[in-house]
Amino acid sequence: MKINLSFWLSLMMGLYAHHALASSGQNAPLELVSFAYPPYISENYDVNTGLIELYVDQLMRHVKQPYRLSLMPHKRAVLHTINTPNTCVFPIEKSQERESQFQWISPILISRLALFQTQDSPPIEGKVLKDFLPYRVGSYLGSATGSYLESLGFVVDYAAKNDANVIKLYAKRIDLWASDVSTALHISRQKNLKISQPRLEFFTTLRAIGCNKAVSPEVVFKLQTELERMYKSGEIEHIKHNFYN
Amino acid sequence: MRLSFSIFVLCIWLAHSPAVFSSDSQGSSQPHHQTSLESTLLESTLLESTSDAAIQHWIRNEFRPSTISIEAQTRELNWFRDAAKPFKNLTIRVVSERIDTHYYESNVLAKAFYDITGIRVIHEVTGEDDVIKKLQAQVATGENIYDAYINDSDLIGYHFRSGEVVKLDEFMAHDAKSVTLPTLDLDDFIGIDFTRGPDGHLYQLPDQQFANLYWYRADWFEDPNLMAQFKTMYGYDLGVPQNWAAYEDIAEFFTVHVKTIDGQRVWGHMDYGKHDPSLGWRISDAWLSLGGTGDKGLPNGFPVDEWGIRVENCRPVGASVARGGALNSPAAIYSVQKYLDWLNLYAPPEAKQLNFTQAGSWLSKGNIAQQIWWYSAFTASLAKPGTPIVNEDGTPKWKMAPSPKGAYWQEGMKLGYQDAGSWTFLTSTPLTRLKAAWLYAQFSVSKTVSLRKTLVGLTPVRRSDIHSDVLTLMAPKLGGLVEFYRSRGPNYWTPTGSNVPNYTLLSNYWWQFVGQAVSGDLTAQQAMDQMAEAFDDSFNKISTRQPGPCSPKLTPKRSETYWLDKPGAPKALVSIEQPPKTLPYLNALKAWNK
Repeated sequence: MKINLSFWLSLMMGLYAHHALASSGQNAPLELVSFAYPPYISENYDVNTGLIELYVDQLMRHVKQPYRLSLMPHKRAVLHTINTPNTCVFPIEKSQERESQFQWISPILISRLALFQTQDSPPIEGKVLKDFLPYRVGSYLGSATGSYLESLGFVVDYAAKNDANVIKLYAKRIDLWASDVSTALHISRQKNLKISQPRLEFFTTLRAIGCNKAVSPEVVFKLQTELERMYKSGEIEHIKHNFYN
Repeated sequence: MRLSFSIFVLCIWLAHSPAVFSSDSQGSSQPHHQTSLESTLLESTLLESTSDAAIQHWIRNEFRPSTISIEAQTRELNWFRDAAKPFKNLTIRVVSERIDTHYYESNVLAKAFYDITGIRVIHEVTGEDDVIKKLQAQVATGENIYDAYINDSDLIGYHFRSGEVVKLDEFMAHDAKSVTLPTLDLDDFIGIDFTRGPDGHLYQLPDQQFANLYWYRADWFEDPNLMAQFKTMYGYDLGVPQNWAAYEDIAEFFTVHVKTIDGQRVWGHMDYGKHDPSLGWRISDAWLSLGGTGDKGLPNGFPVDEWGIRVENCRPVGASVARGGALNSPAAIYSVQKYLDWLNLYAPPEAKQLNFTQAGSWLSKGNIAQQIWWYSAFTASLAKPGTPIVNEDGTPKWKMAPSPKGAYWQEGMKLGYQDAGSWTFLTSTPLTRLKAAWLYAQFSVSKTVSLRKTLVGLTPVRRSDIHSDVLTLMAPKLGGLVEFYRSRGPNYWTPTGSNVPNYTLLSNYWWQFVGQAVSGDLTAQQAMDQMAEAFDDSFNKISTRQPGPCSPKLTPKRSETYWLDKPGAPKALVSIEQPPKTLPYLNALKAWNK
């Protein structure tokens, strides 16, 4: 019995990765969906161990909005949110094609893409992105990073997953690894394979929370206003600083 | 001379450099102990010489031709080198949209600027919508995402109201006095008025411009057989249409009657209609102004502009006719209905499923007779030798000409749209970075580089470049681009103006409502009625988020008849269109010189 109870409790924790907040206003919990995206979103159902999860948790606390967070694959998370009232998905790109499909709270993440080598490689120098054109660049399937570089004329070598790229780098199958800076550092630490300082931080990406169109516009407005306040007050920077240190 | 001097100084430095030339302790060379002042002076001289060499390299290998002499270019670049000294080794970040001009800046000018000044520039290129999102994110959060943006002047209404954009006139006079190029010559910029707010302040500096013009197959229009056939059928000469009635006749002529030329199916009209964000700018880039929706006034109609927004002083008070706006006026409905009719009747059947990017490749196939809405930014791609629309001698078979006007258009109104991508700086950017970015911005539009940049991207901003001998020589191969920019036309083809209080928010409505008219879910009247209501509703939200003396304030609703009976916009229904009219090409160009 006890074992079974523990099992079910663990399963619930796994399926609902956070508790609902009680509030005097008794707002209905907002359903939040996300996907494994370390170090931004935890990959093992560990509660609030991802950076953006910490942002979102604080955001929800500030506006006293109860919520439940669940993880699912990226594409499913997006489709689920489009089709399910009272649901929001993060962190996703607010592309022009998606813009009319959601209500938005943005930016939940501002990050940079960069080019990396192995730590001990002779540095490939370049003054502008185009200087890196002669080199083999690694990315992963489905990545907007790879598509962007291809649009500029780069020959991109795609791995199935991003964490394979640091191995390809060490195997000299690619000269440079194009990746989100924090993601690259996380993977490098996980694999215990050291990478260089970014040779060039070549692009900036924004990610947002996209909410189903039936979510109350007042809730969306409240969250957006509070998010902006968190940035301007330095709270976002404080959370980020503590996370990385 | 300069190069020899550089080598001389280099030799002196090398001879005295202990780090490079000191031998081991048993060696014959004696270490030379310099004072730190000597080292600093030598290093400074060496670096300046290195920069001198870089300056000459870039002038002679990249920045010719220019409208200024090599000596004048050298003086300008020396100025940049000296002004940039406090910012040496700083890395700054800027962002722009994806057109050839900006790729040139990102790949070439950023590198040159680094070589000359030591300031590293990461010049990102992305979609224009992404540029706007990032600018808005910086405003909303205060985070220093970029140090400068090249952003369309269409957002001038937002910029002057927001308080978040640096007023460049004040910046140049005070904080940026020491880093403002003495030879910047603002009067030389043809689009400088687009980037001034109604308050007279300069909010942006133009970097590239292109216009939305009429495009047509001049070879077909001058074919004697086709000319005779048209005259017989329609009773007037085939030529550059001066009004929509003539455009429609020509579209029908090629699509319905001519049908094939040299065995190829041909079409008298090209457009696109996919329910996609790009449908938005198809309409908002002044389609309603061509139809004649707004009031007279340049650069934008006043008090009602081409978006149908009425202002009182600087306050938007409504877009619907009931509030004195014109977004759902008879002129607007006429304009949208014509877009729908021509798309359905005269464009290739695939056109309804195409977006802007997909439709863009059709002209080069050689089966389109005319297109009423076409960006001159595509001049280079359509002038490439070896395509069906370019002659063997490199001259294009096509021309661009003034756009034909709709039934409601009147003298004194803007004639079409011009894009003006412009350097924009946010007040949230730290001052040091702002100054460094301002140096780069000025470099990218300086007379040293501007003509070369114009030859690459064909998006001129300087009067001196437009009137250069170089462009005179190139004109025959550019289909009328030079003629347009040398005329008064650029004064009449203008960007979105300051009546629009929040371009980003409101621009989304265009494609969402017109798209429903394309699909048939709504009529043109219904689409514009609903869009006007959405605009009016948005004005309340905007005024909450952007309070101020120029923020929107809805005027009470009145009967539509009240407004339609008054002079100006919104204009009452025109039941009879003017008879169709065409002109020979050279005569049509005179419209640009009125």
